[in-house]
Amino acid sequence: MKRKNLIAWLVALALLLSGTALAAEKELVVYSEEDLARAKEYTDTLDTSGKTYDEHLTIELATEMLDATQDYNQGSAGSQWFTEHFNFDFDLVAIPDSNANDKIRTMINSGEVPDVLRWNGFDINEIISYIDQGLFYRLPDDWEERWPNIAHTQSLVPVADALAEKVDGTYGLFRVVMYHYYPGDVVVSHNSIYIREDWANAVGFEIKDAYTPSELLEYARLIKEQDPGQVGANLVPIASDTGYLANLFLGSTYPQYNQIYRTEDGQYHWGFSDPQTLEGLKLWKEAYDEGLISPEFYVYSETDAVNTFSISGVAGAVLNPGSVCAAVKDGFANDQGLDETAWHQAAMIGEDGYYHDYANDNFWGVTYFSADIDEKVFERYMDIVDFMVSDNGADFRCNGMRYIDWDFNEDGTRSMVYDTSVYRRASDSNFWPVYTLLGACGDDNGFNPDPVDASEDALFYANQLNAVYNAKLSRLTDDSIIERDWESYGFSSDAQTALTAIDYRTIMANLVVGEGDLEENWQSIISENAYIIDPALQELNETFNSGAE
Amino acid sequence: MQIRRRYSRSRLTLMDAVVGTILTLMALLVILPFYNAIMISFVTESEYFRNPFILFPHEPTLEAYTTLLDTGNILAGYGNTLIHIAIGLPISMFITFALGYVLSRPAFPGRRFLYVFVLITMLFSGGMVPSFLLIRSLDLMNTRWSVILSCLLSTYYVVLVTNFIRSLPGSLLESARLDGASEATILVRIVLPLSKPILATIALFYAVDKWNEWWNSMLYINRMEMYPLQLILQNIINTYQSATDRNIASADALNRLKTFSMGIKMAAIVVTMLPIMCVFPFLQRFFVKGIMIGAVKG
Amino acid sequence: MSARRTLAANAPGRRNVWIEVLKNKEIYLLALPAIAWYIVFCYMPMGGLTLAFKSFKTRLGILASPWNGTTNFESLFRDPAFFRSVGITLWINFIELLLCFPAPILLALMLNELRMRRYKKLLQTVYTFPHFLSWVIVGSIVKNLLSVDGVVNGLMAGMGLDKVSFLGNKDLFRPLIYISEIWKEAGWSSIIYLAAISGIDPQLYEVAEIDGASRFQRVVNITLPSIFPTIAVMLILQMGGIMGGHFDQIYNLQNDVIASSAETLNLYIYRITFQRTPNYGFSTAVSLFCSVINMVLLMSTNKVAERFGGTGLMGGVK
Repeated sequence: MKRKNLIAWLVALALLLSGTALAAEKELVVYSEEDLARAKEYTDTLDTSGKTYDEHLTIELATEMLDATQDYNQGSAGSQWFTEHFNFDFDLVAIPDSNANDKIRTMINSGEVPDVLRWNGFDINEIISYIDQGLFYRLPDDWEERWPNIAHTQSLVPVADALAEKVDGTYGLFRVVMYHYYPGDVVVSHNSIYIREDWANAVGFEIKDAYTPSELLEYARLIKEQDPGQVGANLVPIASDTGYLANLFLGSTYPQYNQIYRTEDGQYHWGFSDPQTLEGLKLWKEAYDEGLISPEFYVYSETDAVNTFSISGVAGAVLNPGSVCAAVKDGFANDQGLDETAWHQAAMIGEDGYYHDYANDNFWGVTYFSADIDEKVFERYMDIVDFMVSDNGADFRCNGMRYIDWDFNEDGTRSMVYDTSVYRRASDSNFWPVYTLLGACGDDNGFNPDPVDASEDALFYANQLNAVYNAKLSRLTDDSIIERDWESYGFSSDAQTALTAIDYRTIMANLVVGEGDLEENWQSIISENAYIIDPALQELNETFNSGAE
Repeated sequence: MQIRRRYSRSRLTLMDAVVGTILTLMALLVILPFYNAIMISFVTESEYFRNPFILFPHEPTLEAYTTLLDTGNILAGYGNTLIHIAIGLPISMFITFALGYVLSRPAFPGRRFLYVFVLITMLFSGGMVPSFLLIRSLDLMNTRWSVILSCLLSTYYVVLVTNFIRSLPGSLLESARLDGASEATILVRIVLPLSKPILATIALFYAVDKWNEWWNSMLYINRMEMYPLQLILQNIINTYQSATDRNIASADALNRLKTFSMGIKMAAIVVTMLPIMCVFPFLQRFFVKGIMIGAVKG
Repeated sequence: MSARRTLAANAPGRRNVWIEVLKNKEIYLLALPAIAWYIVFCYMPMGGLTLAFKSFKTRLGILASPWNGTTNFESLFRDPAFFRSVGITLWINFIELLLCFPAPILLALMLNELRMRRYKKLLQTVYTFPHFLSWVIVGSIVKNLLSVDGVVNGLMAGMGLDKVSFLGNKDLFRPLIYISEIWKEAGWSSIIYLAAISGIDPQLYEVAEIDGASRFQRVVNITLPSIFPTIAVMLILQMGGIMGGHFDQIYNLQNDVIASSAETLNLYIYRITFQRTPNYGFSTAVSLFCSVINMVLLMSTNKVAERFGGTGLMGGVK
């Protein structure tokens, strides 16, 4: 027995060691000293603030979307320049994506707010409650003058103002999505429909730049009947998870379906109890009963859904952000051996043929500071972000560094020179969070009419994004973009907090999957939740409509 | 053991066949899911989609493992869990045995009170939030000690130890006591050598508990580089389900999406259960003996 | 029970208690680390239960947070989700008692009837193994097996059957809980019964065999009654968890459709504590409520068991 025991341990050890060896094989990219030096020197000139930083600081930054195994401080030329120029290191707290909200709430409530906390989730009532408890740092009153570039980004986010007004001061910095290159006057979401163009052609379905839910279902029926891809039993006509299907069947036509909204007469209503919501649910259930969506859409994750479309090729359509086109293109090319003519990206519009949505908040993630943050650390952080959202900084963030990623042509224009087989890009995607999580998203670069990265791929993505965006912008009516009711926004009370207990995903998934009459079930959901909804509505109507009556 | 000899003398009956078949089928039901999970971790996505039940991979690949070890943080998790066990296990064992021995002593003032004091914790607990706030007020947040201390002692194991020690011949202990040996000497010199089975059992139980621990770590530890293995595993399993940043247009940023998530999940599972799989069969006989003696009297 | 007798014989008189204490000082010293641990990590959180009557403010801590009377309980009793989760928890645990509790007993009886010793050991190893894996692992293996494009549906499709959504069917989800519970734990729990069986006097079987009892009769009339005390103790322990349990399991198996119908108390507490704007006072009120109910239930079961002649859980105390 003893010997066997020993063998077992040895086997385990050997497996562990081989695992370590595999991990250690990760390629290391070394920049040539010369390139790196002149790249850094040039990039230094981009920071025109004239400030110098003598004291080395460590900034504790907690955020989602980090890979804790990566060295974000020294991993790419960009990170190296970044930490050297501003003379600091990030002490990164990687928050797991899988339960980020739970984790961040735990941190905040335990009084363990890191120096800088970046959070994708945003619930204004919750944030106000933390601010009231004194858990977050209040920015100095003159911050807008001291960091004008940041102030500019905040002016593009309506919620930022609303929050500052409610709590009398600035506590959060919103990471703006669109701020350089607007394709139109209105910011709309990227959500797109991806369908199989080859299959659509085979079944005679028209390729358009936008589809209504019914049109998409028609496509799904056609491919389910004819199975042009010869997929057989595994075919999923529309592969998407609960969230995106809700967007398709309800949100695209009636965005108020899960909101408390205010009608023109000033009264507050619950969108879920409106007949339009029922219509959407009926359509959804129809799709489910006919087998046009995955029989287990509620188990799907977003990633699963995209994979069935782009990698395994068993799905006829998938709903996802426009930017996923890159992953879709890769998946089709690498795993299915198909080029981009095999699929098509279109906008999702309402049943009436128009685009409907809430006015886009234009931010993704908010940064808060610990109430106990060191003044110096805060200022350094603000300096960094102020540079990052300046014109020069944005260029650095999106295009990388001169000599490593791009260079000037003789005529003064620029083009990309990077060769990934030689260098890791200065703005390597593995390190994208630390760049783009600060201050602004990289999205709008996709709309840059004259991009530095004029590679085939980059232009292709830009075209795709622009097409979807324009398809939406060309289908706007006066009332298709719904403004938030700023008067009641952030109104906080127990009754309003109770609203967060309503889990729409569960409710909708159950209504669609459940047996019995949909309308009856829907009615009973409405009456079941009346104890939450009624007091909240009554309170809003009393508080904000007392003058009108 | 006599029973068995008697039985084996009689001929094979229908009952033997029925029992043997049922038990074998059940064993297959236990083994096959694991086997399949292991196989999935070695195949490509397309092969998995062709047929999710994989008896043997046609084109075996280690891709899932390389991706996992490259990005999954799993080695750090291994390290952290091993540290938790290395520090926590000796302390747990010492405290458990000390208390178990004390409770097995027949008479001393306050023994009954102590027993109730210990057993009440099996019935009544402060719950999640007070425990959480306690760790915070002890200034243990974000330290390994928060996890090590929180799951230091299990009352159930204390009871097992107590029962075991009680089953030892009392005369041995008594004579040592009469010889003037101190309690600690008796515990170390006499009780422990006689308690090998329960020692092994409890050590294994604690080790496995610590190996599988994720709840306290999830509550008390913020830094991913300090996460234990199970939390990393949970993270891998759920991260590959959840969305990446939906607004990033960069092509490379979405590379993560491409990975064959089922393969990686299964690879992570295999890597996590590997040590248990390797060590467990050889320790089985210890804990069966230990739990038998400890529990029969309980 | 020998302990009880010795205790009675040596029972110290009231006067020399302190002498006794002094005599046993080493004993107390040995118990000290454990006592300290229990006080800090078990009893201090119990003190924290006062939070159930407070409105928690992070920067003030438990002690300084203001009292708010029974407000937390009032909002608790207004929340239908709470009562739903109490119902679900009791129901799931009750059925579990009916279905999952006997499983290891049956398994032990069957294993005991198996005559090939080595094979029996091997089987026992196989059955016990899943116990040592976390629900994170078991949950994702189960999901992998039972999803619409998983193994089971693949096999069913091969046999020409329709695909079944096991994971999203409310009627199937609870059986899934029981089955996966049995799958994971039955082998482990059977060890205790096997231990009890091995303690049965072999003469009983010999006498029965001479009397002409069949093997099945022997199992029913000798083995089963002999392990009854063990069964009783395990049952009481099981009752102790009647308001809890299943967190890891359901947390790792749930999805949108069954979320509300599988929300046990533990999951409810988790949800209100971490998945929405937290109100720690409210969460603690739920914990307190559960603990109290739990204790009452356990105590009554214990009383019943004692009345029926079992030793009860506190047998060791006396």
